[in-house]
Parts: sequence; structure tokens; C-alpha cells
Amino acid sequence: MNDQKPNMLPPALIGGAIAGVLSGIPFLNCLCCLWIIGGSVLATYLLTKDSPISLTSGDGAIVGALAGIVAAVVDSLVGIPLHGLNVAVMRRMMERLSEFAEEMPSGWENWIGRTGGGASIAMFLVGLFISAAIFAALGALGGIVGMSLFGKKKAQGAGIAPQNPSDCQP
Amino acid sequence: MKKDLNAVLIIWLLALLGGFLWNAALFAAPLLKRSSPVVSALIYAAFSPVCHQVPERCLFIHGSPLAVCGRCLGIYLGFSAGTILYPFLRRFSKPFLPATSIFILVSLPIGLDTAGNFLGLWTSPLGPRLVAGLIWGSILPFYLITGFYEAGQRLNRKFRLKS
Repeated sequence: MNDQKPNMLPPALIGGAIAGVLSGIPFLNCLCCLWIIGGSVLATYLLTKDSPISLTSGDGAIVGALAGIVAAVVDSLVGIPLHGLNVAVMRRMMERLSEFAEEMPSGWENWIGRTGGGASIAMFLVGLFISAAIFAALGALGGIVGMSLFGKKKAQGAGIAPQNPSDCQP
Repeated sequence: MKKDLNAVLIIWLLALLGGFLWNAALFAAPLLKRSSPVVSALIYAAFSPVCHQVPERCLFIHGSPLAVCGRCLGIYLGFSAGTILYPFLRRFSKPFLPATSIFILVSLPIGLDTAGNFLGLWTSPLGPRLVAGLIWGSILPFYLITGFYEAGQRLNRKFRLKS
């Protein structure tokens, strides 16, 4: 039956690319990790949409993790041209915040200075690796959530147990 | 049955440990800022892809913001709280996903709060963001443990078929 399993790569590429672009754009990135989880849910939806068989939450975890890795790569690539813009947005925010400086703890205005530093290729790759690990974990989570939402509609998978027995419970 | 129990127990322990280390890193970033500034900067940098880290939306410790915003902190603390609660609610028998209705219910606060802020309808203070994240994060281990258990079963089957 595993032969009928759909190809996970296209949905992971689409979901991951959308999540990566959205999480890399300043202002839109205010939704933090929710974009990654959302992109993985989308990847799972695309996977289950045309699947002839019922899929498990394990399949969701795998396609979600793949989408997370794709999102990390896209996010890093989007971040290259937008780096200057990101720093400018942060600086403007700091200026606005400085109006409340008396109410804020001392030293807070310096912590963001690190974002203005230049990045070498090695640092970029290390950052990409760390991002990929974190995004893959969050993506797996999103994929499982997505599978719980979309994965239980197919019943023609021979001998496959219901995806979510708890749906029968209160 | 015993195999199920062992597998779920191992995944649960890994989730508990992972959640603890993840949350410890969030708090370590500001705490290590003076004693180990390089480590602190690395932690901030590691979390920057998954959080905007805008200071006005972060909790402060010792004069520095945590490595993520209040909403993300809520999600991650909620994840650890949910992991601690897991054995009391589900024990270590074969895991299953939470009901969709429960997921929708716990997603409502964070969904409404996020949508309202994103569309500029209102600006939530830190407290509600944290609580909304906490509620939502607490259900996530129930998905993670089930998903990883089933992914493990699937990979196991694949290896057995190959061998």
C-alpha cells in the first residue's frame, strides 16, 4: 500500500516556499513561527488533496519537516536582499522606542546592534543549518496538525485504521 | 503493546528534554549577556529566523529582552506545560491526535489576537499575547508525540520490509 503514497516533494516545496517568503519579509514576519506552521499545514493539505489513500500523522510530520527545511532555505535567500531593509526597520523601531527609554530597563537599546553586522558565507551557512533544524521541528509540528485537519477524509485506503479516533470522543 | 509504551515514553522524554533546553535558551540569552556575550548573541541569532524579536513585544530580564517575543514565549512555555501534563491525560498507551474541535477551541484566542493585531484592529499588550500562546502551545505536544510515534512506526515498517 505504501506504493500508492503520493510524492511529498511538490507539496513540501510549495508550502515551504510560501512560508519562507512570508517569514522573510519585514513587517509580515511579525507572525513569527506561525508562518512555518501555516506553510506546513498547507503542504499537508496539498498532499492529502490528491492522495488516493488515507495518510497518517507520521506522513504529516515528514512532509512538514521537509516544508520547514525548504522554508529555511527560502527565508535565508529572501533575507539577503532584504538585510538592509530589515536593519532600517529595526533602527526606526528603536528610535520610536527610545521615546519610552525612561520606562525601559537600561541597556536595552544596544542589544539590537548585532543585526547590523556583516555576515560571512560561513556564518550564513551556519545560520542556515540552525534555521533548517528549527524550521524542520516547527514544520513537523505543523504537518501533524495539518494531517489531523485534512488527513482523515479518505476512507478507501484498504485496512487503514481511522486517523483520529479521538474525534469520536467528547 | 509494551513496544508502544516504550516508544511513546522515549518520544515523550525527548519532547520534555527538547522543550526544557529550548526554553532554557530563551532565558539564557539575556542572562548570559554580560558574562558570555558571544553565547548570548548566538542564542539571539539562532532564534531570529523564527521570531521578530521586537523589544517592545518581549519580556525583559536583567535589562535585556528574552530571545523571542511574548507570544512565542507563551507557545514554547505552553509546549513544555503540555508535555508535563501528557502522561496524566494520556498515559503512555498508543497515542492519538486531539479532536479537531479541541484544536479549534484552543486556537481561537491566538487566532483572534494575531488577526486583530495583524489587521491593525487593536494592539494587544504583552499579557494576552503570552496567555494566548500558552493556551495554544499546550496542545502541541499531543500532536508532536502522536506524529513522531507514527513516523517512527512508518520508518520501522520500511526498514523491516527492506531487510
